[in-house]
This record gives sequence, structure tokens and C-alpha cells, in this order.
Amino acid sequence: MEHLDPKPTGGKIFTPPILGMLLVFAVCAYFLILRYANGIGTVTNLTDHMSWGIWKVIGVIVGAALVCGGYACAFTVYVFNGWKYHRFVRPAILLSLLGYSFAGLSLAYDVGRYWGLFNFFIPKYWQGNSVLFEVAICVMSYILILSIEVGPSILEKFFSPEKADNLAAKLHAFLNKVLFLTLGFGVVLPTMHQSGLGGLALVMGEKISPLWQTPFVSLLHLISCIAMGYGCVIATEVLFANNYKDKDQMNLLGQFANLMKIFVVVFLALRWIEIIRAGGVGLAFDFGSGYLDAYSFWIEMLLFLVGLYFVWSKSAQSSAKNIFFGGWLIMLGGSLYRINVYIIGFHPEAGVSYFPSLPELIISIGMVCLQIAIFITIVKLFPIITKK
Amino acid sequence: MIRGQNLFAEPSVGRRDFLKLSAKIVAVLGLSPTIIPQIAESLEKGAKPAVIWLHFQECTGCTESLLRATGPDLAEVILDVISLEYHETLFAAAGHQIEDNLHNAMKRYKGKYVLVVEGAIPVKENGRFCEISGHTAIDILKKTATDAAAVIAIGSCASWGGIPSALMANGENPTGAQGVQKTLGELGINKPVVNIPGCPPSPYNFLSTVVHFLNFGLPKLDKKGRPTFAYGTLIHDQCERRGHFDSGRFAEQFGDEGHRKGYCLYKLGCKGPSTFGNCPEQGFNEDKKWPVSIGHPCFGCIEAGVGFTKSLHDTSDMAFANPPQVYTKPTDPQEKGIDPLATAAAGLAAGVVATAVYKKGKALPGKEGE
Repeated sequence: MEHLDPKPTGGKIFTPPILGMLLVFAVCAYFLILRYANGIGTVTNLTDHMSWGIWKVIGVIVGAALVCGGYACAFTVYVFNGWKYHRFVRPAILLSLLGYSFAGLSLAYDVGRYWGLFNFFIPKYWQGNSVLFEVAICVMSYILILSIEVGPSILEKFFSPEKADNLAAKLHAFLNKVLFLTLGFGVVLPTMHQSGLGGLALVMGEKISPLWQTPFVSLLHLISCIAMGYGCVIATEVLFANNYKDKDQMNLLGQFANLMKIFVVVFLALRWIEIIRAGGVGLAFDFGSGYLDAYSFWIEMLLFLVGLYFVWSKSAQSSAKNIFFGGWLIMLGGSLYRINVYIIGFHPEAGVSYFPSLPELIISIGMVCLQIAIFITIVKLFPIITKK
Repeated sequence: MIRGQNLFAEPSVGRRDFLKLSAKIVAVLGLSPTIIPQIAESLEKGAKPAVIWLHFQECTGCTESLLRATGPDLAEVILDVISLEYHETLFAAAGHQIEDNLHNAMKRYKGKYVLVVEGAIPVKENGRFCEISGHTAIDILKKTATDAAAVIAIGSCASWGGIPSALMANGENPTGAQGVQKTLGELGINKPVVNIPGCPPSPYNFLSTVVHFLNFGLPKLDKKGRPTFAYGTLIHDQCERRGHFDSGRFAEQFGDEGHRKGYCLYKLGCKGPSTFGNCPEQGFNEDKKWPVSIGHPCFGCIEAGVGFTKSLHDTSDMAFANPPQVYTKPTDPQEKGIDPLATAAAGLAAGVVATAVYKKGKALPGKEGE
């Protein structure tokens, strides 16, 4: 195992982009207050037919998949013994923690009768047969596990290796001792809830267009979330580590891009096999159906294919530009795939459609802004990123 | 068996009846179905414990509901399973004859018989409000309970006082009516007492307790001496109208729109939130019907301090957590269509991200040799 020396990136905290993001969050907070004062119906466009809006689909389902970098890294580094990738773990895990916490938060303000939420914490009222329960309990425990995983990097700020005798140092040593446990859960829990998020689509049955509905929808969610996780690691590393001259770093990121390519290829192959088997090919060309299905399907395919094109060859994988764009496109493709499954390809009744309202959108955007602002601030203050 | 079908035939109980009954009892007790044959066998064998059934301050409703249970005819089965030594309603005999039978049974089955008590015991003025063959209820209970193996108090009256203990306008319990457990405690008789409260209780709760006693001893009891298999859960938590409560949809008056639509009866005074029992699951009249399912709030007849104590239409307390007093007004779920402002906001956000990513990516070093 190589010796890693992550350092705080430092710099001014309240830079103009951060202030801008906080401003967006301020507007979001205003609408959140409205949501609690006047009820969920006043701020959202949710109806009894389309009860899953962007708070659930983008906030939780897409959000949790986008930050799968922690899962993808833990998977590669600890399960497949890829210790050379160890330097990517910290930022990825931190981003996962933030992403999952905000996903949980998103669920909390999405619950219409929030005063019943406490029931979730009473084991007596658990309903083990519910897919949503499985997702919720896994996400909640995963947030806990992620906080334990992030713990050491935060604690390291409060003691120096030479003088390691305060509480932070003791806690740090203890967390390192139980690391193997948290790592085990850190791989098992996402595997469960990411496929569980696909399982939510499974229980929708024929309400979802055959372009997306398949018995393998859980597996598809799992495979695509790992690909998105690699994309996320590449994007964050390129954005924050910034050391393109470091051959070693670029080489490792290129290998991640290659792994991402493999997962996307498997995903697309399985997608097409299932679409052909379900007889959905005709639907893919049915542009006059009055639904957006066909258009959205091809945009999704395009995002994946162009993303693949960017990272296809070995020489492309060595280019920072290529893997950066490739990673983003595949993250976007995976996100659109999820939006397609749960909103665009979801037809509970003829003629029913859904488009988020302004407050609903602003709450989602504001939460993402806050999340990114927190991430950047933590990276500046705590030893997360490894740079040479 | 349809009631009245074989009025003149010999009453007989076949193995099929035993199996049907066993299945029902196992369901009430919440046991594994694999135990059905064992229960059926023990029923068939006829362990025949002697049962002495006393009536004090009551209306005989518990006995009546027991006798009217069918599927299979419960009265037939229970008379086949137990040896009923004394029961004022069911005996053909009367007067000295039946009293002699009571004394003989107490002697013959000393320490082995099960004592079932129906009705409350008046304790004021030496218990003179309830006398049978010249003995007060307290005396009879004292004599019979001393030698009993176990005591089952059936109905709310025997369990905690029920209607006879209801207070008058001046706040007085006129006869000092109280339950069996309390009376035995005051008499210093230490016997296990199983309370099966209800007005009347489901006959299957009683029968399941007896069968449990025959096969596995006394069932697990809660703090109030009630078997947990029947009285362990809040009625409110099993109610078929619970969804309406959680959604804030209430019937405000009898016959209003909410009432006709089957909304929650909490605001009409339903005591489900403070009463423990299996009525929603078990039902009455062999038809899974119970008050709430036919539009009447639960009266809380099972629960001491609720039934016959609280006014019929008073709002119930909550056993666990109180609901908020004010609910946000539900909005009419109409589709709202696409808002141009929202579209603009979504486009703006997407544009900012796309531009940022594109600018950043373009500045990055490309392929080697480029």
C-alpha cells in the first residue's frame, strides 16, 4: 500500500461561486418554509397519479446514483484489492456522504404527512416486505457507515502524528480498527439499495413503458450506478486534484475510465436484449405517440454512446479532456435513464403528465448547490484530496 | 353446519369440525399452522377438564354470544371438550338439585377444575346486592376459587367491573361492583386469573384461552391479566379505517358525507386509539363484523377506564402519541401543466452546468501528441 498524504487544498472559503450557490439555497429555503407552512400541494405539481416528482426521482434516485463514487471506489479498492486506486477513496466517500444525506433530506421534505415520519424509527412498525422500506433502511444505515468512513479524515485535522494523545487521535485509532467492518457494510448496503431503487420500478409493473420495464431493471440500476460512480470519481478528481502532469494519477483515472466503459457496454447490451425481448423496439421509433418516450430514449442512448466514444480507445483514456467529458456524459446518461424510468416512461393513466413547478425545481437546485458548497468547503479545510 | 339444520339429529362432532375449529384457534393464538393436528387431537381426545361457571352481576351476554357461535357449532364442541359441571343458564335442573351438583363437583375435582366467572361482584354492604341460594357473590367466589386450578374472568364485568361498576351522576358505584381479580386479591386468595374483557368478548378469545390452557398451560398475560394474543395490540393500529385517520379524513357527524364514505370515526368519539383488543381482526357474529365496520365508533367496552366510563361521543385519548391538533389543508390534486418560469429555471440550471463543464473540459490537456 502506497503512502498517501492528502492535504487540505486551502484558499478563501467564500469565493463568488460559493456565494452564488448559497444565494440559490436562500431562495430554496424560502420555498421550503412555504412547503411546511402551506402543505406540499402548494409548492409542487405532484398529483395522485404522479406522486413521484423530482424530489424523489432526482433528489433520491438520481442523486444517490450520481454519488456512487464511494461505492465504486470501495468496490474496486477493497473488494478487488485495487490499492493503487486508494487515493480516490476519500473525496469519493465524502461526496457519497453528502449526496446520501441530501437524498435522505429530500425524502424527508417529500413526505406529505411528515408528522408520521417518526414511525420509521420504531422497529415495531417496520414492514419488511416493502421495497421502499428496504431502500430507506439501507440508505439510512449507509449514511451512518459513510460518516464513520469519513470520520478519520475530519479527525486528522485535530491532531498531529507526533503528538497523538488527544481524544481525536484515540477515536481515529478506534475507527481504523473497525474499518474492515464499515468497509464491508459500505459495499453490501449500496448493492442492496441501488438494486432496491430499481426494484421500485419493478413493482410499478405495466405502468412503465416496455422501453424501460424489464425483470432486470434492478440489475440495470446497479450496473449503471457503478458506471456513474466511476464517472463521478473522474469528474471530481479532474476538477479538484488538477494535477494532469502527474502521469501516475492520469494513468489511474484512465483505468477507471476503462472500467466505466466496460460497465456501460454491459449495461447497454442488457438494455437492448431486454428491449428486443419485450418487443419495445417499435416504441423506440414511435415519435407520434404524444409521449416523450421515443425522444427521451434516443437522447439517453446518445448520451451513453457519445460518452463511450470519448473513452473508447486506450489513447483516449489517457486524455484528461476525453475522460472528463466521457465521465460527465455517462453520468448524464445514467441520470436520464432514471428519469425516463420514473417520470417520462411512467404512464399510470392515459393522458397524465407531470412537470415540476418552479418552487419544486428551486428546492431541488438549491439543495444541490448547498451540497456542492459544503463539499468544496470541506475539501478546502480538511485533508481529503491527494496531490503531488 | 347451518344452525337449525339438524334440530332433531343426535348432536355429533366429527373430525372435520375439530380440524376447522383448531385452525381457527391457531389463527387466533397466532401459532404456526403445523400445530393444528396437535390441537385437533387434544380436542378429540377430550381432556375434559371440569368447568364451574358462575354468574354474578351480569346480563348473560357472554354466555349468549358463546352459544351463538357457529362454524363449527362452538357450544357442541365446547361441551364435548370440557365437562361443564355447573352453569345456571345451560342446566335443565334447578333449585337444590343444581346446588348439590356444584358442591359435589367442587369436592370431586378439588384443585383441578377451571372456574369461569361471568359478572361483577358487589362488595358494598357485605355484598347483599347479589345472592344465589342464600349466599352472597363474595361467599360463592371465595368457596369456589379456593380450590380452583385457574380462574377465567369472562366479560368486562368480571374483568374489571363493567356496566355494574359504572358510576352514577353523584360519582358513586352503587353496589361496589368490581372485577374478580380485585376481589380475590382483597380476599387474599392467590390464584392465576385470566381476564377476557369485552362486552361481550369474542367467543374465540375465550375458547382459544381454554385450548391454550389444555395444551400449553396458561397463555402469556399482559399487566392487566389479559392474554396478549388477543389483547396485545391497539384497536386503532389494526383498524380498517386507519388510513383515513392518517390522512386527516374524518366523519364529523353521523350521516354526513365523510360518514357515508367510510372515513375515520375518531371525531365521533371512537375509542379505538385507547383500547386494546383484536376486534378488527376477529370480528363478531361469525362475519368479521365489528362496530367500526358498520359505521359506529368503538365504545372501548374492553378497556377499564374507557368503556362505560367515558361518554360515548367524547374524543378518545391516544395510547401512544397524540396527533397534531391542526392539519394542513389538503389541496385539490389537479394537474397543473408546464409552467414557463419553471422551464426557464430548469433550462438555466442545465445551461450553467453544461457551460461550466464544457469550459472546464475544453481547457484540459487532450490526447497525447495533440
